[in-house]
Amino acid sequence: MMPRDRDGQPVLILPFSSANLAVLRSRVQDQARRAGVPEDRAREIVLAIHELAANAVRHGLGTGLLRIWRLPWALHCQVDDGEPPSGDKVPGPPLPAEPMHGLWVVRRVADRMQILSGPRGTRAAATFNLPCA
Amino acid sequence: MPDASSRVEMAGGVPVVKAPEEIDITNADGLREAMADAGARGHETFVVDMTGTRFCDSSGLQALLRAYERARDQGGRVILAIPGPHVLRILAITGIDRVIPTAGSLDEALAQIGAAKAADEVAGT
Repeated sequence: MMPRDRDGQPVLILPFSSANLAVLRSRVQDQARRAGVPEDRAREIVLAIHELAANAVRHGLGTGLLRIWRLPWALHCQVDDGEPPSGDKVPGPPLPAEPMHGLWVVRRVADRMQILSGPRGTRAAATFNLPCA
Repeated sequence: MPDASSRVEMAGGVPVVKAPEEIDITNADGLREAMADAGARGHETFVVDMTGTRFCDSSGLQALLRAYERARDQGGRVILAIPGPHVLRILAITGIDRVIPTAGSLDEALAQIGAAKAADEVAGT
């Protein structure tokens, strides 16, 4: 079940473009650390969320919005570019098969991943389970 | 602000591409161009020095893979010098660690190239 806006405030809201991807990576790393994610896993999460943002920069409008929610069991992130579809039944494009593709990396690293595409934008969501307390 | 550009230096006749601290879509093209330059100067045999690199995204990995494939197809050799676990982990996630040879230091990478060149010369005589 994907969390909606009403499920609580994001711990991070960050508009991005190609100009601040390094800042985005550093802010994601902070959030992963604060959530108690071990260093190695934190780096994987940084890579995955960076790839979602870079994908929006490359294939979307060049800018986007990253939001991260801290759930009791996971970090959940959404990367929006343009105006993503509001319904959650719109399937995105099939995920790429080549290992070098950014979204392939996300699929490999995230515990869950979903992409919703509409005519005016895309929402990519990924969830990373937290270590058991 | 760390240097985000890639540059080529020669070490004992072998081109060495000094990769930036963080490689992403904003500077992967620079890395790609530096590797093309290194390939041209070193008969497609060169080292990519990633000893100062702590992040590399898929655009950087694609650039590395293309450069490696071009070198291999032309009888050259590319070795990535990667001492720490950060970038190695990214290579492992994508399986590139099973394709492109790596060395634990720049010296080790240059030694591997030197040994391979010596072996080629023996084989060629």
